[in-house]
Amino acid sequence: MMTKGSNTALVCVAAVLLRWCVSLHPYSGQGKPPMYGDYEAQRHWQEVTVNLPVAEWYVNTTDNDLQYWGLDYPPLTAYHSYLCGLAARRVNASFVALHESRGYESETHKLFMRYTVLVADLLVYLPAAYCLMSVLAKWRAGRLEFVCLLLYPGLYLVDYGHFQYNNVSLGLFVMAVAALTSGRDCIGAVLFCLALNYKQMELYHALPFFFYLLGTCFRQGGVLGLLWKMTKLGCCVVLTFSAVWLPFASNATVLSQALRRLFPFERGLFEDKVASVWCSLSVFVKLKTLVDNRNMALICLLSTVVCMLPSSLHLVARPTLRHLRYALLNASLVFFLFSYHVHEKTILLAAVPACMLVSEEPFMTTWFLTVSTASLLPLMIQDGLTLPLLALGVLFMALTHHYILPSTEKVAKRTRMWVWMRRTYFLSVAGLAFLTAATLFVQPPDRLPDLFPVLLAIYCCGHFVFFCLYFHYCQFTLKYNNNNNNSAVSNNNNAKKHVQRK
Amino acid sequence: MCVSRRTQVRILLTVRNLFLEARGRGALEPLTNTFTGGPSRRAHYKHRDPALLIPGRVSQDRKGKNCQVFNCKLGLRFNMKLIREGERRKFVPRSRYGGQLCVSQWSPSELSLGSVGTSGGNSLSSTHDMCVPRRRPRHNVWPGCDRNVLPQAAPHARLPVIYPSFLFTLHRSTDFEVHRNWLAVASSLPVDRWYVDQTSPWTLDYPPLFACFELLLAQVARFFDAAMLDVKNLNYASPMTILFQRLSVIVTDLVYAYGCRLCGEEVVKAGGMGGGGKKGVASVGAAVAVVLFTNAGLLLVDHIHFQYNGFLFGVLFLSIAKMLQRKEIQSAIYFSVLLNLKHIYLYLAPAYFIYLLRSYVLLGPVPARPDKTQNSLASRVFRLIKLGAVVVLIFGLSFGPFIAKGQLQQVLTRLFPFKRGLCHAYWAPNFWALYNIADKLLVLAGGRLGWAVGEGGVASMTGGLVQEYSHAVLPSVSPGATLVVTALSILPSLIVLWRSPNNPWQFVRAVVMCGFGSFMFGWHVHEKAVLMVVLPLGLLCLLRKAEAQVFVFLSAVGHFSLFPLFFTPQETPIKVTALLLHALFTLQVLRAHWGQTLLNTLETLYLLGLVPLSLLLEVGAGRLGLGEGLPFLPLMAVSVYCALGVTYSWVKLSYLGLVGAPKLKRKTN
Repeated sequence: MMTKGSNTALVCVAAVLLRWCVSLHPYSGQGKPPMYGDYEAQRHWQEVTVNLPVAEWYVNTTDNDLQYWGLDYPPLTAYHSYLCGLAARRVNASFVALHESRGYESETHKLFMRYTVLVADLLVYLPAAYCLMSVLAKWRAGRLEFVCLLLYPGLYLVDYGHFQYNNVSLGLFVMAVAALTSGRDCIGAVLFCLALNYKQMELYHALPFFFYLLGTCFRQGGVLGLLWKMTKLGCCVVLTFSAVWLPFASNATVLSQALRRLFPFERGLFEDKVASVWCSLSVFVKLKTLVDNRNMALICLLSTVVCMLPSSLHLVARPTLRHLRYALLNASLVFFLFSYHVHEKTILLAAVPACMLVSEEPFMTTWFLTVSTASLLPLMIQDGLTLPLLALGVLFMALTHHYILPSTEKVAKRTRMWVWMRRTYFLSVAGLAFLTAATLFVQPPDRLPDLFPVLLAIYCCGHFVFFCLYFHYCQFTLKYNNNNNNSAVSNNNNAKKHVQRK
Repeated sequence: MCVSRRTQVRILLTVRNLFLEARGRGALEPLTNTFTGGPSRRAHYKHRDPALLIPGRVSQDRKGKNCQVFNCKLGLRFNMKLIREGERRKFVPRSRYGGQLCVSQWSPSELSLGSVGTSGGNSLSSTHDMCVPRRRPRHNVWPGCDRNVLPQAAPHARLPVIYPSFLFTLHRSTDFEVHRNWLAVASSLPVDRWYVDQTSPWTLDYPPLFACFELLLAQVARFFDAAMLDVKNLNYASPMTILFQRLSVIVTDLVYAYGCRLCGEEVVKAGGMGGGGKKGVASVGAAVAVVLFTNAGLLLVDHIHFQYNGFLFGVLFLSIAKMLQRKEIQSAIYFSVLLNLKHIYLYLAPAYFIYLLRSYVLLGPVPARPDKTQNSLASRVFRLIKLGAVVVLIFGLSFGPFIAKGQLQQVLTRLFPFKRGLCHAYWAPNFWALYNIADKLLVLAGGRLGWAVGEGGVASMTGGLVQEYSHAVLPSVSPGATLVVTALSILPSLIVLWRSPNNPWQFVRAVVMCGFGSFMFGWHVHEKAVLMVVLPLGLLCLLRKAEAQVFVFLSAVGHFSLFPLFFTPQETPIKVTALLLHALFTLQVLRAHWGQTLLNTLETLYLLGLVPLSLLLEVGAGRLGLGEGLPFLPLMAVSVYCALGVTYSWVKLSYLGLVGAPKLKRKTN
């Protein structure tokens, strides 16, 4: 037990150390008036929530100019901002002074903001990863997931470098998966609703959750069981949502205004150079001129739903936890590739489910995580975080190379396909290295100033499509034991027996 | 785990028979009181087939006495500890799969048994150092996983660990400017101006080879930003300059990595642990290399505060590793280079001097055959000349140009500035910190009791930044006095070293004690110097449990005492987590080897006391309402508290060095 605790502590401390190292670097929009960046957005939300009544948070008023980083995340984010704002006010009232604090920047403030992320990490994300590990430990897994969740560089580059609180929503999401894994479906539903109410981006994961729970409902045996479970789950969801939205319920216009803020269709199809299908296509076909925004949104919606359906329906038929984890990854990848208004950071929503699959698919997931880290490069260049990205990318690859990839070697030696897979992996990493170096050091031709970032985006997009197909294939070919609700458990039992026989 | 009494008796009988057999061969004097010791002196080992102890060759030890080697082949699964009894000693190098039993007739007064060659006389493992862990190293397997996280994979961990240091890039401290200035001085001024130039207050005060090293760096620095090489460009810090300097530290750290690796290999060999296979102690040995390489203090001092200590310690470790490999000349070369890179390592020179004189010059290399000893006067003189020539050559290369220009005096005054005070502004946690605080307490007590106390002492007490001050009650300390005390403090370990020839591990011990003595009693010691104790001590932590205990304790305390160097609030989480990470990792690796009990209750309590102390330091006395009167109270508290721990470690280590081999303890189960 000691060793387990001490290993866990080691990983946690290492994670905190790396996170803090990143936090010494600049944040998005540092010293770039008038709009600054996400850092200023978060600070501005603290300012707004602390100084204004709840009803005005999402409404355009004289004190709340929605054009300047108006609040566009669900209420939990707002509450979190409120708490941080209260703390900020205690530390230094000028951090959050209404109007006057716009574009406030100082070393102390940066320190304060970084600490808020660290606190959120320690309170939500770390416990969530720990819960997942301890839940998976039953199945002789979970340790790699824990290490991966904590040390995957993309997440803390965005949170501690670029500056956001993805760790809260993703932590709640991981905790929800852990709850489902341990059989506590209602708690899982509540936690997922909380995640969804922290960041609407969690919708990426909503469909697999829904279909998984639906599938388990069907497996209750009898109509009564089905109805009882559905009622329970429904109550959980409804109660959570109403509890979160209660402060806004006083006025219908406030509610509708808030909802409109959450789903902004006036924004573009994608931002900058994202490795999504639409961005890659638009290099060859000028989508923006061909189709107007509204239609494009429809096309996105349709294509996303169509691509989502196979894995989701499969999940209804086979609602096991392994299927769920694959489906989560598949759904978020499909969303990332096809949905409307995708941002580079969105890949984190696919990376976290991938982290949770790492002991099932050590080779492919680490490959995917590596590529996903590299796909953040354009964003990081903008924020002046190139160096940490490179350092952490190499660190992560070294870690996976030594701890995770060796476990695939046995498989690799056995089948010819895996030999080729590994070669492809090295080729792909070499390609990434080449494109990264080109982006950083090669002067692009004048006519194509964004040549290399776009090439990188297309390259990553190709990878993501491949991964998407591969993980779909995995999900559909997973062994399913009809007698046992949870195939993984039975697999685990087999594994245990096998070990004992040895 | 416990071996039944019957088995024990059988084993003892077997070994006894062996001795009788040996007597029959006439190789040894009869052993009279074999195995008469109490139960606590009994060997614990499991065995399957004791008959496989095969008498090996008879050879002579260093003193020309007879010595019999027994090889034990596979089948005997030794988990055996040192057997010591009566007048004679028999040592069993442990190995899980085999090993040697060596029986000789050395008098007990000698602390070292020396060694009996395995092959070629090169990789001699000194049996004296072989305190065998009471159980087989336990592998750290996280439940539910097939591979361990760190210790087992530790050999590979070497490389990744270096990368995080990239992350500190954007931070800079005053030492940046020091080294930037040296870069500029070395690259843009002629050699005879190096030690004369006074453009910057940070004049060159390292020996000439270090300036040459900076000159080499400057050749690369040109491609980053040539402006940093201008002497007049004071406080120049473009992003490229910082990047270059960070990178230079990271790249030169590879020397340190190499040194750690070589030393780690030697540690594994010395433990007789080479045969353990991939999953055996070899991985723990490699993990020790990682423990050394990832040293938190070094990471903080080099990569945040900015210095090239990693590189320098790399050279030191190379030198030690060569010594352990019995390549004394190479070791001497590395050490002379090191002395010419940074002269603070002069403190370690006594250990080198004694060991080389005794074991290399006087006794000579280990003979391949007993009749071929090389102890003739001619061969001794030849070895002395060889050694002397090497050392003189390197010093000549380094200082020659300055001697030729008649600047030696100037260089030496730069290298040894005696104008500084007894202690640094922040007291290094050594004996003098305790001395100072005792003085201050006496002043306070004197004030209460109405003694007449000099006013100067009272004033300097609250000053903190005063460089030189006189003690009010206790006698003031002069540089000469510290020198004498330092010499006295390292004398015992040197005597022990003299009396245990050809035992390179004893030499490492002496190096540690030299570093420790100078840290404890030296003049104007900087707190960074604690690394000079902690790092070589790390080499010993697989050999004796007691030393492992001191290492764990001292590394925590010593690294904590570096905290005041990093005072900006941004650095707080880094230093705390780096220290924690390293301490946890060290504990884990060593616990895997030695079992749970590495820290006793008192030590644990003491280390827990560091937590409120760090709070006091970070939050500051000001917030606690103590600020106005005593602004330096937190620093002083840290210094004194750490000084207590360091002094405790010093006493313990000195005691261990004098007592010698560890005692046998009956295994309690």
